[in-house]
Amino acid sequence: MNAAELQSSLVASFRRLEQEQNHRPWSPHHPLRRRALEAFQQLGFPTTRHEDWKYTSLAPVLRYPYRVELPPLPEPAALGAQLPALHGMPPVQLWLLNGLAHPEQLPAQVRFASFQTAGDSVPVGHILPVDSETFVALNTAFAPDVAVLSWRGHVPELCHVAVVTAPHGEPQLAHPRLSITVEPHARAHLLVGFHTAGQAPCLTNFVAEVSLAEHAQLDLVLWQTDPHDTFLITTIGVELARSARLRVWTVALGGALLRNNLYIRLVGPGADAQLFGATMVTGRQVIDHRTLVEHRVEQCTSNQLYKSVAEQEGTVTFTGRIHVYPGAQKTNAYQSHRALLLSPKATVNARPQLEIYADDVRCTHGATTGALDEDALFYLRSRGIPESRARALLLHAFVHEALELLPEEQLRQRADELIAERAHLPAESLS
Amino acid sequence: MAVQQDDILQQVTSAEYKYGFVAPIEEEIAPIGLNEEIIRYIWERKGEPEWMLEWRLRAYRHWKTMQEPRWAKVVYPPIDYQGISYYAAPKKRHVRSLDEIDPEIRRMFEKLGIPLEEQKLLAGVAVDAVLDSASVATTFKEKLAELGIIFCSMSEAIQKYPELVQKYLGSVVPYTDNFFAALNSAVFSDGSFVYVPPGVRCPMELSTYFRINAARTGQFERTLIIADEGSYVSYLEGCTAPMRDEHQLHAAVVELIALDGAEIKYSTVQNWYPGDREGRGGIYNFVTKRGICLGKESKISWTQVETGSAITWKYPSVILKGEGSVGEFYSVAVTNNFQQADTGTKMIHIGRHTRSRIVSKGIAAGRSSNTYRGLVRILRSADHARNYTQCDSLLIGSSCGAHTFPYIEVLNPTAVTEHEATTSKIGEDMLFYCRQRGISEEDAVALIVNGYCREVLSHLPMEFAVEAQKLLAISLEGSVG
Amino acid sequence: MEPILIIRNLRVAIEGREILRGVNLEVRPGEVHAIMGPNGSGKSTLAAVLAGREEYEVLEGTVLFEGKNLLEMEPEERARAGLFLAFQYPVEIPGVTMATFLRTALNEIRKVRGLEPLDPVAFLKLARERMEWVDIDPSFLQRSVNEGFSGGEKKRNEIFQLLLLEPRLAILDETDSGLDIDALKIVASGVNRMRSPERAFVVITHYQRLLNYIIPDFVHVLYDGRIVRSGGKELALELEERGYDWLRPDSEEVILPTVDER
Repeated sequence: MNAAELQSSLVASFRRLEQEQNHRPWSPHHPLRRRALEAFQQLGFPTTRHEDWKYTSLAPVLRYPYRVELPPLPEPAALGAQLPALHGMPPVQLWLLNGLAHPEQLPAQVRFASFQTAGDSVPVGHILPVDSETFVALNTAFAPDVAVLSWRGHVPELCHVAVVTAPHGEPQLAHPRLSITVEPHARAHLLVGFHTAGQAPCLTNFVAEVSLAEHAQLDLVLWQTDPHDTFLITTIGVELARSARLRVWTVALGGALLRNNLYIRLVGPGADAQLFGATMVTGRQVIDHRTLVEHRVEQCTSNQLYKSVAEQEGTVTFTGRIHVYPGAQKTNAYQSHRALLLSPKATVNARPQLEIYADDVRCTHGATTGALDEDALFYLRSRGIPESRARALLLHAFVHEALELLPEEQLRQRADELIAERAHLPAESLS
Repeated sequence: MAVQQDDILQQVTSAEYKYGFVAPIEEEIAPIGLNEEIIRYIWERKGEPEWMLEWRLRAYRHWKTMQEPRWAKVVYPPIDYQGISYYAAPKKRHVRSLDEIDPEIRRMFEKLGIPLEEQKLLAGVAVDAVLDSASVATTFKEKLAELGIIFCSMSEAIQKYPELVQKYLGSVVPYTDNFFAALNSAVFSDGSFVYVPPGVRCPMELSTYFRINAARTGQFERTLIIADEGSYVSYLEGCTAPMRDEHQLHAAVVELIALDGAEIKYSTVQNWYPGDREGRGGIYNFVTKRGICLGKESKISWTQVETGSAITWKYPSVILKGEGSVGEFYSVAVTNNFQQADTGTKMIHIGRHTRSRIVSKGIAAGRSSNTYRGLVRILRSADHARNYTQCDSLLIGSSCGAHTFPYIEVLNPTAVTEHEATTSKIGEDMLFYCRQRGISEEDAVALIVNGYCREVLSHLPMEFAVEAQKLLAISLEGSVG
Repeated sequence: MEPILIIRNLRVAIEGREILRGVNLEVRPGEVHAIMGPNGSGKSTLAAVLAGREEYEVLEGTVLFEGKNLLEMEPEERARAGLFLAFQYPVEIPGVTMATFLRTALNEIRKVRGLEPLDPVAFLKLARERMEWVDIDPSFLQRSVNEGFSGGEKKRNEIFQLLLLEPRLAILDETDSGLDIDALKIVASGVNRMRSPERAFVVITHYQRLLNYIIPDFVHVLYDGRIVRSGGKELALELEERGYDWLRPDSEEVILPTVDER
């Protein structure tokens, strides 16, 4: 199969689903879905000639005859045991199984609704226009459900959403979708983990729309540590109102091909967004981060720190854009991508971008690539630490920097362990 | 240099574009439009050998299959490639000595501050003057010939040194490279040719002065510089054009070849007519410049000061093939009013221990758009390659845009790349400090901008640095207050 | 003699907050006025407004400089008319050499004084002579303005500029802050050398220390946006002993312990 064939097979699936009147959650958004499908037909799958996909070819992803219809679903309870990646993690409070929402025990101040229960009052496309990009269009056309989470007041507990794609004997394409609202002055902590269960190839096309009201705060952790050779594309759009504060940590270690699109819109003065990424690729893994931070109004701040390590034949790509709109004076925006390239067959691509239409701004970006600091290595060895251990320590410290500010102790520790494992650093070396 | 700065600032209090006159020179102009007949016409007029016709036609046929690139951050209405003339040359140009030059041409170049009489020239600068499509005068030829240095027009080189031209023309920028390079390959009419023999250090700056004079013409010059083993040459390029309401197309190609241990320093002060304050007229400057460090320990250094043109699309690049070779790019790009610039460089590291350095200073004022676009590519073979990039943008006023789009591709674990960029406005504190010492706001802006660009300007030869400083001040006039 | 500077009922705000709440001051040629006051009393605001910083809003009042309305003049016009501010925090200007900067400034000022511009040779001669007065190495002329200068070098550089530009009225904004005693003496000797019957100084300082070396004719205390007390040089000593709190306008002679007593 190739991209064109997959495209027509998906269009055919859409027509089939459309006719299945008993497909309950389908109907409320039917006109929107149609529009999205049209957009998908027009946009098609991007190739590397598309500027946004210059460094990441989807060819290995698009060669499977994916099924979009929901396969028989496993029991969430059973899944927990099946997914080793959940080991050492907080309990799951909401499952998105092949895109269908199954709430468990959610914190009291977190309201939950879904397509299945709330129908067309569920907001869709308000932050990510349905026809803006192929994968958003595709998700809008096919998402079997939209899980809506809204926070009111300060909720100290972490809310854990597990996105699981579980193929049933044949390649599966899943369209999980989240809609998140943090109400004025509310504070939310959210962990979204991405997992797969089953043997067949699967592609998860995740979309989330996030709205932060005035003075709202969200800490969002994206946990991408799937040990299988799976494909994951995420597109998250966040809009921040006045004085809202967003922090996102992306822990990207797993999967065969992983692409994260993180679109941040600062629309209220005083809003602040901080994005952090810890990425390690090995084998033939491809991890591609794209960020866009739009400073649409004055006096907003943003900061991005991505640390990446490429080993073996892995590829890391970072494309980060800071876009300052006309009139967005007193903008302060910072972005940094630091990468270590550790093997002669690995690749690092970086495109830090500034697009600036206001003059009273301070915008900076930096990008470096290189090997481990030989001086630091020598220093450690001169203190009696064996070279391999010294390398591991430095590697761990390098990646860890992106996670330093992660407030959840449990997650930070777990991430540290995973990074240490990748760096071949014995766990007891972590303090 | 520093003490001259305020003199310069005093000189430029009221000037707008001062090179905007049209000289009454009799010219032969090709019929409007582009087809194989026109290419034959150019080829015949220039009396070129047969292989050049084939070369041109191959490029033309390829060009017809190509699309104009649209990825740059510049906006302009479609160019009617059939609406312009591809060849214009002064009628009286076959001269044996400088005394025979058409007095009108001589007067025009004098008005531009480029005297063609050798005795009047600043010591150490040899000039090749290119008017519209044709080279009209090359000075100091004999003196250079004593050292074995060839400095002549491209037309002459095709006649006299076909083996060198055939070997190197299109070897760095093949006609398939891009739309404008293909167009240039098909229709280029003249330009400069330089060959520096092994071990020779060219004792003077070689300079070409480009001038578009005729209306409804495009200028398509081609420059080829070959620095043989262990040689050194510094080459300067300046350019101006009359003020016209229409846009004029300039699509040049420059190729540099540095063999073992050779060094080429190429400096440009680009001051094509930028259009008026409302964005009417101005040159479309679509230029392909590329050098190859073919030999080991060779070096190519580009320095550019871009103040002119309505649109600039230009990425002087270096292919670092020879082991230990060095590429440099120093750039100041100023845009004001409705000017648009999308400029930067490419450093392609192939050889081991290759090094590159990029320093770019963009200044945007008025309603202009100023983009840095650059590529640093470290191939698998480029062990221990190094790149350092610093690109800064300065915004003057809130209606302009400054953008930075670097591409960094690293495939070798022993390589180190570093890229830093900042965008900010001109410091209010700096302005106030200058004004408290009695310096006017406009002069303070010019002073601060010159300081901001100093690292780049310091790489220009003296005469050019002075001219460049003047241009910076003129270009930013009316941008404050 | 006619005053150089007359400030009448000057009220100034920044970002809606009133900082100067009715300042009155007259400075005559040959006089040295010290303005003292605690942090936040408005001392630096007064200096900034006189030099023409645009972010301050003048709510009321007039300032006459040699009979002209100072508040209507651009910052560079004030400088050319002979008003000089030694900055508390001198600004770094990368890539612009001291020589270029100062020759540009000096020739602008000479122009309004009806003098010929100085050529580079004459300029260098004059600059070197004045640099010696404040013990600055002539190599500084080829360095970027204030860039990489130490705190003390920046302050001495301000005084060097004062010596070079020969203003009618010099305002020194906390020039003593961060200086060790030797640097302080150098700065003071530079200033004293410039004292003349035609020239006046306004020395803004938090501490009395500088006034041991630059002896003022008058001392004013700025407190909460107003000059609450004026006197001779002995007032500075009194302030050094008693602090500022006893001068609080709403507390008549309430004696609070000064820092030293605690």
